[in-house]
Amino acid sequence: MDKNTVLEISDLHTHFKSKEGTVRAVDGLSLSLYEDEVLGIVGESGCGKSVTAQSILNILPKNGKIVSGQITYFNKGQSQEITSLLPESKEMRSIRGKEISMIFQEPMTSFSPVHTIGNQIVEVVELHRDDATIDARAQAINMLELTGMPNASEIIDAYPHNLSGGMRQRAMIAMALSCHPKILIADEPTTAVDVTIQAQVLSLMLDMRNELNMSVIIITHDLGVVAETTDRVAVMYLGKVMEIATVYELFDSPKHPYTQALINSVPKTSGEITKLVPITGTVPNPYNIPAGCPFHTRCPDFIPGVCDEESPIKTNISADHQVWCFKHADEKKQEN
Amino acid sequence: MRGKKEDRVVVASQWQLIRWKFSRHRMAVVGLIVLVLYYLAAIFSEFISPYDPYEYDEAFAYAPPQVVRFRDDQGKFHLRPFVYPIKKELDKVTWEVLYVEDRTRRLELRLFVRNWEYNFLGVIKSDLHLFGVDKGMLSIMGKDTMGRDLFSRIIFGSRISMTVGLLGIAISFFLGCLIGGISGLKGGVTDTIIQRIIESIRSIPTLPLWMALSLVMPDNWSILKTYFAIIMILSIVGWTGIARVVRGKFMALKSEDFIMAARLDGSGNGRLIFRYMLPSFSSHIIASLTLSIPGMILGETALSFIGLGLQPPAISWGVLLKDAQYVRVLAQSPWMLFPALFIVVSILAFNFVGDGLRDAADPYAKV
Amino acid sequence: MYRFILRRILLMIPTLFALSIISFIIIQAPPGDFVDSYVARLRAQGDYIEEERIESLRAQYSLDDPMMTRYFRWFGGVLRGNFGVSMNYNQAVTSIILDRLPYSFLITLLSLFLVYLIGIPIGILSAVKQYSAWDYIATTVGFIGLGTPGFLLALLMLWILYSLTGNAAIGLFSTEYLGAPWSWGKVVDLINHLWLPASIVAFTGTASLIRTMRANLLDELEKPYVMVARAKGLKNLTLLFKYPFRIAINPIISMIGWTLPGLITGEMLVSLVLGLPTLAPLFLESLRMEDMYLAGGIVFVLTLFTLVGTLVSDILLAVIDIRIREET
Ligand SMILES: Nc1ncnc2c1ncn2[C@@H]1O[C@H](COP(=O)(O)OP(=O)(O)OP(=O)(O)O)[C@@H](O)[C@H]1O
Ligand SMILES: [Mg+2]
Repeated sequence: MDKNTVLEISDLHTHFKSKEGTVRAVDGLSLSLYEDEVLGIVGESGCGKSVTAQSILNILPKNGKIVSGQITYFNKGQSQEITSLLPESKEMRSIRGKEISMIFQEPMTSFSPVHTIGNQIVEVVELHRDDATIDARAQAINMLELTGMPNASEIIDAYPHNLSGGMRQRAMIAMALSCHPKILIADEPTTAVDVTIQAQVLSLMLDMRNELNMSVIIITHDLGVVAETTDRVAVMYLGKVMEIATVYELFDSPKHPYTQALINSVPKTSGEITKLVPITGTVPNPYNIPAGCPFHTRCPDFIPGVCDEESPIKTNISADHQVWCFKHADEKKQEN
Repeated sequence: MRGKKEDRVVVASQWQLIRWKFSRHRMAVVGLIVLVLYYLAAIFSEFISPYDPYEYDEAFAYAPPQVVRFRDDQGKFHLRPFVYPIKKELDKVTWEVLYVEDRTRRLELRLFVRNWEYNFLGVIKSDLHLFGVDKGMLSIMGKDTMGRDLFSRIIFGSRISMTVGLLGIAISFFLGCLIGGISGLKGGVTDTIIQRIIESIRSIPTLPLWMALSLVMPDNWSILKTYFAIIMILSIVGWTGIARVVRGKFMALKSEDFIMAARLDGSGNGRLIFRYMLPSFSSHIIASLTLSIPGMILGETALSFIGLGLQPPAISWGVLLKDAQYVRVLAQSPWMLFPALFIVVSILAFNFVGDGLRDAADPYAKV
Repeated sequence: MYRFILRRILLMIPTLFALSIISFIIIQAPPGDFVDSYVARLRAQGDYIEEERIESLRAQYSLDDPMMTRYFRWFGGVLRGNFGVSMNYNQAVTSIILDRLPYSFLITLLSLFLVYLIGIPIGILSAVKQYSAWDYIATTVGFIGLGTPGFLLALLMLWILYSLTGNAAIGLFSTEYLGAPWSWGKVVDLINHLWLPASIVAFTGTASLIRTMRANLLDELEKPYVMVARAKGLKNLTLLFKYPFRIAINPIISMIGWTLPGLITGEMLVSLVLGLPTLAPLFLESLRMEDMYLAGGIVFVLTLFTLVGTLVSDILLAVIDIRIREET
């Protein structure tokens, strides 16, 4: 298949310094994002999903740092290596919000409480417009209307506390899309809104993707969301990708023991009655990630002397399906 | 979640948690140690003071502090610290009396010497003192106008200065909890009126209020009476702050189930406040109480300093500082500012401890 | 907005009324009255004073009227700007106060200005560059200020000045301007004399403002909306002032009113220590003499000052924070 890559992450390591020591929040992560696709990133809480997103935009908190690896952004045949840019450089800033933008988990606290919604959306448009004559306010209203916001021309002058949770999330999406970015990263966009709104927000995002031709990364720990919305899925555990596959292959024939466990731990919606199996053990301490495969402490197929010593290497199950696990190491041609 | 340390947090009780978080706050621990020392000095003033704070000797008026040394003029090292005795000399040119060190003799400092007699706590008669010299005069922080030992006076001053804050806070606390509690529990008109009153009191600048109130005390009151009157005066402003904290908390607590249950059981307001509601946020209260003590200490100091608070013969740090208010005295004997050092250190100590308590009591604070 | 301001001003009226009563009661509280203490002073000097003269003095100042009558007469006057007659100076209280009030206000306002002018930038710097050398210096200065009340600092200054120059009379004017009519030179001279007491008064307040500003801003910097704003591609500095600073400053603006009583207290103590001819020494004297209309007038004026201060800071806060306006 011929797919154009828009974003390529290879062997990314992002660490945090804290009083207790170094947290290896992202620890050797590699993945690619193709044009026009929806990529899901799933994993348990604390596995480094948000930190990955922050690394892509280079907006890590002060104590965080990308220590090694590359993030490359491809646009119109040109490539820009994000990891080589200083976080506050002009080039980096011109990518944020314009080329790659992000939707955050908390619609409540993601807006400044003392500025109007409009003010906060117009700001992005004004920041990135090529032509100073573009009416930023009109574009903001337009964008709000596109998200299905009722009374967009009034809502634009409202303050965040006047809006309901669902409306705030729409405004958030409008803000993120107001400069027609090539890539949208949605970090748990539906966790903080109630179930009825979740579906609306998700379908809105998919509509917008069709409308604006962009690639979307949806970060979530909800496999249901993944199944409904994504084309491909990356499964993360303790800062690493464990398995990556098309959504169909992943649910149909998960290869990694962690993916299998993850899928078995959620109820099926298809009506089959199967026993739910919680994953045994607890997530290891992120200050002290175990050597070898990070999942070996909880893995049912743990191979002593192998899994706890060496890092598993990538195995191609098919063109669109890779897994990092010793169990499958000899099944197919190895790479890397 | 995060290994051993975190596990401990999970099983610790609220108070253990607070203690553990407090002990990680280095400045707060230092502050606490300083405060313990201060209060020990207040309790054992007689034992710690080398001299009777009232014993004067005009011959040594304004005698400077001596330097405690280990090495003598010949460069010889002595294991036991010593001072050189002070003697008077007349300046041949200006005819001024000068104090000079007599380098020919050494006065050795000793622990547990016998000197002036006192009644500890009014019962135990003793003449034992923590330290002193056998013969001659010791002046570690200098002597005052009348040749009284400043160090001994500062130690005795801590009795008043360090307790004014505590007692004042106790009274403010009681008033604040009661009035703030009623305000928060009753709500409505009662609440509005009480809040207006609090706001009015708080908008009067404290010093003029204190100054005016302190004139209510007749001149002929005993030291003890004046002392309690001053504490009352300081509390008149102090309770308002606590009342606001308590009210805010009560507003939030009012609807909690266990309070409802107690109310349905027929508990009166007073019982409700002191028996059920206060214990549920005592750590916060303790922190804000600690942080309001320095204001009280400063209040007493300022009032005594401008002559409206305690009067000599009472000894408090403010009374002692009053001697330093004349610039000539200051220029000639800057050691008269030593009481100020004690004040500053005590205020900082209370602030550090209060900060530490506040952070420790906050369940969401990072550790 | 205008309704908010109007409401806020109307709310001040009962407070003002309550305050006038409190002031009056405080002033009445000391045992005896002006004539008693006047007579006692005369007698102490060995002077003789006739009973009739005492009675006539009492009558002259209506000291024997019931308290309520005197209160309403006094308050009625206050409303018209007439604070009564000072028994000690035998002069209208209003004119005595007006003579000195400007200096007290100038020192207080100047110190308020200094507190915010110095405290806010240092607080910001210390939050943005957390754990840097700057932060440590600012924090240390903050601690020193926290523990050193203005009057101790004033005492220290006095000593230093005296040791350096042999002269500790600070005053408000140089001798050549003392009786002179107002001129540009006199204004400059006044400012030259004011900044020292004002900075002493400001020290403690500045220290605590640095701490508050730093803590508030650090709190805000961690909020999600900051990361959102960074994700938009805003410049760090633009972002800082548009978002976290704007929000961190709100509680600080609402504090302006509440810093005033503290600054006034500081101003009074510092003036007493430095011997400045402001309201403070006058107040102390009037209290000692039981010159109650003068004392009461001073308390009332100072309180009014803080009330207006809180009013201004409430209005400012409402202007910058929509949430406050909508609540009330
Ligand atoms: N500012 C920070 N300082 C220190 N550690 C951090 C910081 N931010 C994140 N971490 C750590 O990095 C790891 C990954 O965090 P991250 O927020 O990416 O998890 P996540 O996968 O997004 O989880 P969730 O589903 O809960 O959002 C966690 O162990 C977290 O404690
Ligand atoms: Mg996350």
